[in-house]
Amino acid sequence: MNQARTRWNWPVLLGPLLALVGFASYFTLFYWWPVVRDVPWLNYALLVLALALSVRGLQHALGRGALRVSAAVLGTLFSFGVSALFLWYVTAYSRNLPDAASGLPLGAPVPAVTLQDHQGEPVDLRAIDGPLVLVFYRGFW
Amino acid sequence: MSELRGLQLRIDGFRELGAEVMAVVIDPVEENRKVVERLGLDYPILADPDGRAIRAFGLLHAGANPMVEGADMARPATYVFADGRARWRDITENYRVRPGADQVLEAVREAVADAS
Repeated sequence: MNQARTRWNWPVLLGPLLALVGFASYFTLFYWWPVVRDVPWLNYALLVLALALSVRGLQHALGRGALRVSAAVLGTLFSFGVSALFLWYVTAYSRNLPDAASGLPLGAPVPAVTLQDHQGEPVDLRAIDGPLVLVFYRGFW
Repeated sequence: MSELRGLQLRIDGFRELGAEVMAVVIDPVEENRKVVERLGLDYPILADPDGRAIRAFGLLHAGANPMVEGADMARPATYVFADGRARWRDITENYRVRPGADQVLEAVREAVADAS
């Protein structure tokens, strides 16, 4: 009994830590692979594991003093908060885009635009022979 | 930006079809040179700092640039042209979700077949 009381309640700490990893790893790592970018299932899995750990830590802490319970409650709230933030980003924030209807329609000719390439050379989009793939992306960050 | 690396991995496939791949971004030439080097791209990144091309394509996301307060940027999109006409496009409704390189390659293959 005494031994159980002094043993560290690791899930209380591991849960929130894993929640942080589950959140940050999307932007630093998994974002680079479409298979875990478009549907971030790996991050979902990490966050579910983090929540499970936090809840388990909370269960362990119950009845072992106000301090332990408070710490476990805080940790669990943190894990839930981080998970909610991630879910909001994935499902709501990243959909915050203007109406796609204004996009150049199919069948339209290549717009007459000349831009500088990464070496400073001018490139006339209309002067390109053969098929052309144009990728618009948001920025270097 | 992760789509740039995906397209690079399939660049031989695009070349076999005679297609050119180009990226367009609001970033300046100097920044694009760094990105080309960092990602090892064999295709150019075109600088569109005042959004001329982005506007011509109707892809402006006004005021959304996270690096410069109030500045514009492009919404992510991919176009395939053949014989000078837009044959395929993907304009995502969620900027995290973009077509994979294989999907774009298939679109080029079909566009080439349709155009000939």
